[in-house]
Amino acid sequence: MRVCGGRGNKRTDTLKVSVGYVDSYIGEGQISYAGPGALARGRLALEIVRERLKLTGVAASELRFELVGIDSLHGAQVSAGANEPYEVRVRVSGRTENWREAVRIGNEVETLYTNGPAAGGGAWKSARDVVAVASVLLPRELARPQIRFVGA
Amino acid sequence: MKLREIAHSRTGDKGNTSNISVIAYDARHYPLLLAQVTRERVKAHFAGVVEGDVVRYELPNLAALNFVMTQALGGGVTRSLALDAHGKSLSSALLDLDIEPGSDDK
Repeated sequence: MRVCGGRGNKRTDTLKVSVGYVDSYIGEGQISYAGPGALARGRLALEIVRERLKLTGVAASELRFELVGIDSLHGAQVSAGANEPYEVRVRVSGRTENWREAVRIGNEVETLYTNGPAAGGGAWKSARDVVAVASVLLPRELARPQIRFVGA
Repeated sequence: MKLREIAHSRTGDKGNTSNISVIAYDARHYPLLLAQVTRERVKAHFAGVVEGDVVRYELPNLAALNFVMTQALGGGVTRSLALDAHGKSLSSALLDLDIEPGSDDK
């Protein structure tokens, strides 16, 4: 086989690097309501948490209030035609700058057990850090390839 | 009839951009997709979900359309607050679109 006309360009001065960094924290809480009026109690629960987060000054840059089974996947507008279900699950999530604030979001959902609509069950909460990825161009000379062998 | 009766759909994601294909089961329905599954209708259908642009790409050899929607995934998979951070369930929302059947399908 003969190959001809091969050519190339000067190598780039930079290398693409995907950098992982702690972008923010996400706090979340969930609780379920069932039986007659489940949807109305779920909506009321969301309003209570919305108001409580404001009253207690939880610092979140972004918040989501939704009902799993109603509008959690596509939002209120797209889901507007949904029928009344037997049960709903409240879900509130928010983005915060630190762990402490993230924990407070789940707490405000859990507290619906005793300070919310009747018969909320199965509360669950979490807080986690978000490692986001950004792509940057790194000057080539800053990258020093090394190989290290690790024996068992 | 619903779009899901004549087409299937799959989704992809890159950052905060969602990508939804609409593929006719039978190539004879491709003209219906072309005429009725327009960029404008898809954008209106995803009101409240897609904050950015919707661009439609046509693939006649595959009897398929591909929609690229920006600012559609709550900031992107890594940082989204959404349950479905990849937007995989968006395909089912699109297949709910009402389609006026062609004369052969009535």
